[in-house]
Amino acid sequence: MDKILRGVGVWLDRIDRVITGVAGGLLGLLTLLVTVQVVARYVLQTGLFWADELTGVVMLWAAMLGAAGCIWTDSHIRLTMVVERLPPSVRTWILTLMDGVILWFAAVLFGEGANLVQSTMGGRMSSLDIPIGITYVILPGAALFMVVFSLIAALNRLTRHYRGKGDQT
Amino acid sequence: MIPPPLLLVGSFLVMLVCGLPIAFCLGVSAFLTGIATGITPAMLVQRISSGIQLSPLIAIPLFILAGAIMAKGGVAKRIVDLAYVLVGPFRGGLAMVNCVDSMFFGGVSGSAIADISSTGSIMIPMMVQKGYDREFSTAITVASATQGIIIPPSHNMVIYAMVAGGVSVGKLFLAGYIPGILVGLTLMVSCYIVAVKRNYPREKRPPVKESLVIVRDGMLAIVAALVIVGGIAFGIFTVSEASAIGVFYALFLGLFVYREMELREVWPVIVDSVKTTTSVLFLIGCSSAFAWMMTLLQVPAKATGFFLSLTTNTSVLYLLILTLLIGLGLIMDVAPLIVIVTPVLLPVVQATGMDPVTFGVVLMLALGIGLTTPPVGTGLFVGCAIGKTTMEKVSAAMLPLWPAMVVVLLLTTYIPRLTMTLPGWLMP
Repeated sequence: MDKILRGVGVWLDRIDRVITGVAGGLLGLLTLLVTVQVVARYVLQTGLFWADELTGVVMLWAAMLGAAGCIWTDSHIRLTMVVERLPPSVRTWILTLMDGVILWFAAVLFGEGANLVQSTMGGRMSSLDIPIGITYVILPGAALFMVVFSLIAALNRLTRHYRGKGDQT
Repeated sequence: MIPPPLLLVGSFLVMLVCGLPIAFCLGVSAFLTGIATGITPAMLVQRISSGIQLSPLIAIPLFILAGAIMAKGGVAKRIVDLAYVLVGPFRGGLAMVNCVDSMFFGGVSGSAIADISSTGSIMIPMMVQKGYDREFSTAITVASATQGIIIPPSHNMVIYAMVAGGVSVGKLFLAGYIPGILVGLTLMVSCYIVAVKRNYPREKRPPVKESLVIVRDGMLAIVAALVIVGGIAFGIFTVSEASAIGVFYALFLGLFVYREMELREVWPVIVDSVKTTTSVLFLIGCSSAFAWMMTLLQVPAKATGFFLSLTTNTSVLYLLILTLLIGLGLIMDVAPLIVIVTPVLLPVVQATGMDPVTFGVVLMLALGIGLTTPPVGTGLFVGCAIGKTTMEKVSAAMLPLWPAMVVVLLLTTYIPRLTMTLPGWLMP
């Protein structure tokens, strides 16, 4: 069990690095898109609607991917001062329960996100000729990562606690 | 059956205390309340995604990125040098350099944390070497860095403007100048008093020729800030466009002017900032679902009724609100507090006639104080790591500095002119 979890952990580290990298790339793209719009407005005297539309898509993708990665690296802002003061086993169980809450949230996000994609795939964006649904594909996509990350984080937390007890020095 | 408003706020608080990330606390409590009141999660999921897709929000990751690039690209050092030339020769000069430096750096980067980590790693060792005690050096670094969230551009003000809805970012930015500079000045007065008591040294100003070069190099960075804020205030470009220009200007300075950065170093800086920026965007998305739920259940209206029933005296009410904000700042971070507190308290102060622009600056000041206080002061944490000292010792060294910050907070709350003059003059 330990071995499997460790192996999975290594893989999830890699996945986190990849999705963080992709989110970083998207942030770079965002910078370019916004700059192109300023240049177009003042130099070419025209607004670029496609760039405006694409910006909205890129932003949601970057935010959701990054937010999913943050679950694995525990980078979301949270209040730790109360749980830190609890006895270790109580703390472990509360935090595991909270991992479960994230899992539930991610599951809802997955289901509703998938519905949203389905219902918007038919329409097309006004200036980019792609389905509107593409924007929302990242909702179930990132939710899937969230499910995996929170599940493994919970298992890690429990095994670490109960294994750790035996060989505490 | 629990009444829905209680379910919303109660479940949020329980999960918050249990250590669930704040973004999820907001999202999950909205979901739970939705289920209880017959609002489908589908609607809330749409709220979350549309909350992230607001175009001015682009400014948040890009301002953070610009700040990170500036910190890496040698801007911090140039600004320290500039401040050294300006105020170094006073008694306790290095402590004042630290204040002035944060004033300028705040104007360039807008992030208190970036200021503490980049200028702190230059200033604290320099101060310790000159005989300042380590705790005081760390304390003044942390305290003065709070100017970063008040002096524009400030990504936290963008968050506030988005959450408040319909508040002009340009006006907010302009409103931040005077209170932000006041924080710097009052801190310098405190430094002077401490310096005289402990006989801290004066510094020699570098020769004129050298000083002029330093001023020129420093001004190159500061001009960028003025262009960004001016461009927004005069409607030349939007906030998000200004932030993109900021990123390119930061790259230009680091790569070609100061030459302290190489092209291959840019990517790691971007990746480093991803975690911070995306977690903030996700937080804002979830908070918009939460805020929508609150409005639906009329929580802000009830809160306003409650606050106004406590006292009819506006001055007392403001004191209560400031105490509440500082108290919350003790235990929570700036961005989450802005998104949670704004929808509840803004209607309250608006009912008393306070302008949303003034409240924005007051909020930044109060939460800025929270950055410097234990037990949860992110600024204090970072400062202690950089200054290699402990939170207890730095907190003690903070004692002469907090009153200075509180004085500015009170002045800003009770004298609207401090915030409204610049926007009224430049953006009528």
